[in-house]
Amino acid sequence: MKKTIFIGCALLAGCAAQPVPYHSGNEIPDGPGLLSGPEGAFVLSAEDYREYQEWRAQKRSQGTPAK
Amino acid sequence: MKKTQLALALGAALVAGYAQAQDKGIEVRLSGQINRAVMHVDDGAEKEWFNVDNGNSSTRFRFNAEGKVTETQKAGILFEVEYKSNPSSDVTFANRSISPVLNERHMDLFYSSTWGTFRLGQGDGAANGASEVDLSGTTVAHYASTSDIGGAFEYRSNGLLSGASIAGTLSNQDFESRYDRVLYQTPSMSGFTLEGSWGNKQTTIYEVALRYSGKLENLGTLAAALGYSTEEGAAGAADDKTMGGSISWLHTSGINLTYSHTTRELPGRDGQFDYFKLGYKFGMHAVSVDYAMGQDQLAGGDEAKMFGIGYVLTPVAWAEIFALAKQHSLDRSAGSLDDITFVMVGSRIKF
Repeated sequence: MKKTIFIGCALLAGCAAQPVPYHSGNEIPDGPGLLSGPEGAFVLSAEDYREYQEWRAQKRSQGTPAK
Repeated sequence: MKKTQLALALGAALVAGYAQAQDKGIEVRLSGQINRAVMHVDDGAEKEWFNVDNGNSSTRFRFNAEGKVTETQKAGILFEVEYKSNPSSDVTFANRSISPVLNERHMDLFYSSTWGTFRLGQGDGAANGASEVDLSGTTVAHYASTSDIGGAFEYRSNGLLSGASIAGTLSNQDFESRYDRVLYQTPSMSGFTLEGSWGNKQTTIYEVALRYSGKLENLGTLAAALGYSTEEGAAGAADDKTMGGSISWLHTSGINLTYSHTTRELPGRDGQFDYFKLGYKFGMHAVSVDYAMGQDQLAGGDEAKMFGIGYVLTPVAWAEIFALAKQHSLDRSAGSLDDITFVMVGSRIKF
C-alpha cells in the first residue's frame, strides 16, 4: 500500500502535470456574487477610506454637512 | 542580549512592513452564501417534508483581509461563521424546527512566505477534508459526507426507533474537522503540499496530510489527499486514530470519478468507510451517482450502505440549483432495519 502511494506520487511529480489550486465545492464558491458583482466580495481598502476622509474634509470646507 | 536584539529587529521589520503595506492598501473582503432546500424523508413508518439549511455547504458569511509585510511575505486574517436554521444534518421527525445559532468555523490569522504558511487560531486541522476531495461539480448536492443530509434520522425496526442513526453508522470519519490549532503548510512542490497541525478540543490533537492537485494535459485534472489524525483519549481511554484519503479525477470530456476510504480505530474493531462516485459535467449541468459503505462504525457487525443520485444546474456563476435522491440501509448482526429514503431540492446563492 505504502509502495503504491509512493510510486503514484513519484509518477505525478515526474510527469508533465501542471499544479492547479483545489477549491472544495463545499466552501463558499470562487467567482462572482449576486450582490458583490464580479469581485465576489464586498471589498474595502485603506485607499477607499482615505478617499472617503478626503471627500468629508472637502465637504466640510465647502460648508456642506457630510453624511 | 541577542534575543532582545532579535526581537527589536523583528519588531522594527514588522513596523516598517506595516507602514509599507498601509501605503499599498490592505483589502478587507466580505462574502457569503445562503443555501436552503426542501427535503422529503420516508423511514418506513413516517414520511414528512422538511425546510432545511443544506449541511453540505451551510449558510455562512466570511470576513477576510490580507496585506504585504514585505515583498515576499504577507499576513492576514480569516473570520467565518455559519448560521443554520433547521440544519439538514440535525432535523428529525421529532424535531423539525431547530433555531439557528452562530457557529464558529474560522477565527484564524496567517503568515506566509516562500517557506510556507503558518496559521494560528480556530480553523481546519491539517487533515480536514482529506477524505472529501471531489471534482464532480455536484458536492452541493452530495459528496462523501453523506450524513450531512439526514444524519440524525434513526433506522426503525418493526416501527420502533433503533437508536442507530445514519451519522452513527455511516460517517466518512473525516479526521478532526476544525479546532484551535497551530498549522504549517509547505509551499506547493509540483502540485504537492504537506501539512501538519497541533491543537486541541478537550484533548490534544495531531494531524498530518499530503495533498495533490494538478492538470494532466489531455487527461484532465487530478486531485487527491492522504491524512492521519490522532486525538488523545480522555483519562484511561484509548487515543482516537483515523487514517485515509480520497482521490478525484475529472477528464476533459466531463466524466469524473471519485473514491474515498477511511479507517478509524475503535475499541475492539476498526470502523471502515468507502465511497465511490461517477459523474458527468457538461455546460451548466453536472450529474452523478454515488455509493457509500460503512462497516463496524457504531457496533461490530454493522454494515450501512447508501446509494444516491444528484444533479446541479449552474445557470449563472453565483447561483446553483440542486436535486438529490438517496436511500440508506443498515444491516446489523440481529437483522436488517427499514431503509430511509430522501429527496431534496434547493439552491445555493453566493452573495
